[in-house]
Amino acid sequence: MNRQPERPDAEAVERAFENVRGEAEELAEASASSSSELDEEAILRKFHEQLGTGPDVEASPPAPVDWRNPTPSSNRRRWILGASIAASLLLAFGARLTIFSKPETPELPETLGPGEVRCLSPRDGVRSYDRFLWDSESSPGTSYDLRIYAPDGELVLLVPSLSESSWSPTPSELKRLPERIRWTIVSKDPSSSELGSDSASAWLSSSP
Amino acid sequence: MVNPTEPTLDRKPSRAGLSSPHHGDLALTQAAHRGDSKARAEFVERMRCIPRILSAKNRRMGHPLREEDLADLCQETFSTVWSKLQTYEGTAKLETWVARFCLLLFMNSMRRKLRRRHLHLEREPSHPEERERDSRVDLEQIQSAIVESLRQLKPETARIIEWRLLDRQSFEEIASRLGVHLNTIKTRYYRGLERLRARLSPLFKEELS
Repeated sequence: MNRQPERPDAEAVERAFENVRGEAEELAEASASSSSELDEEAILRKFHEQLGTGPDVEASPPAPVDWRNPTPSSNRRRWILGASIAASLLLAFGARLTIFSKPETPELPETLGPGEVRCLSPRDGVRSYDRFLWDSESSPGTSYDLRIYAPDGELVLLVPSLSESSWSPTPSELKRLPERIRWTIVSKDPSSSELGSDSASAWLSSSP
Repeated sequence: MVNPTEPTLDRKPSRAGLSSPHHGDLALTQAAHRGDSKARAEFVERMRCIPRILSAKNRRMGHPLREEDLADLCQETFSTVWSKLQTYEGTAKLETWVARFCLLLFMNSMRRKLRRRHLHLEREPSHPEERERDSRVDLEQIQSAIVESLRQLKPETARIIEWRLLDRQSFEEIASRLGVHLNTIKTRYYRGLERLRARLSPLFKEELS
């Protein structure tokens, strides 16, 4: 098959990418030595707030707690520690319920409303995770974000902006998937506003 | 990167490991994502590039965005970068990878601004400076629209195009990475570019001809 006639057309698209790539490199390079007109410190403070970190995280390690002679501040730490452990246990328990305690055949609506999405497969015991399939009442421009989680809630795979209602992992992606997974699908309109979402759990089984 | 609001430069979590040219940056992002507080602090410090890149871009474009808009855009960019962190593979320097998000989110912001002006004010730019700035914006929009339109392709095809054009990987490297025959990669690549062009041609007839 002769593909030559297509290539001159493709060059325009390649040039556009090249421009974006080139400008990104140039601006990134320049950012090392230049400063902005903006209040960088204020902006970085907001970044830190978002991540729950602080510029002094490294500089000031937490002081050791004197358990024998607790001060008001160490008492507070102990209380916070205890509360954190309790909260973590509750969350872990809740997550376990969410991931693994769904009814095996959940009742699903007969029809989907605009933008609604429904996980079809894999669900429950399956032989492999070679294809992820969902159903959606979508309009033009709808896209989907697929996320796959391990049983402990860790995000294993994120596949954003899918335009079709199915996705197949590559062999290497397939290898990354644990035996049990929970996966979610989120439908979005062209402006990235969420339209609907659904999730399902599945596990590898020799006899699905 | 992508859609009017959300870049989609990368489509899969990192897996590159030691073979990544920017292994240090990759290790930093992975540690930050795991929750390592020192790594997060260092990561935020590296993200100082966001206000710098966006400011530089705004200067180049003739200051279409006000300072407060830029500050908001910094936050939006940081959120997007953080949400996509797992897709960073160390194939480009961290700041370069971030700069791609900066550029496309900047253009998205411009597009929103222009749309608001056209919808609500319904007027043509009257000053020569404004016209010149808008023509620059139009050209930039074409570039961002092309890259954004990746999301409309099959993920596998989009990934090949991204690796080839944004990360400058050879067809051979991509073929070996995906475990697919070289000719298959080339076919998907050119077919993908053609689809992009076909989708965009009606919008940008002159610029793409």
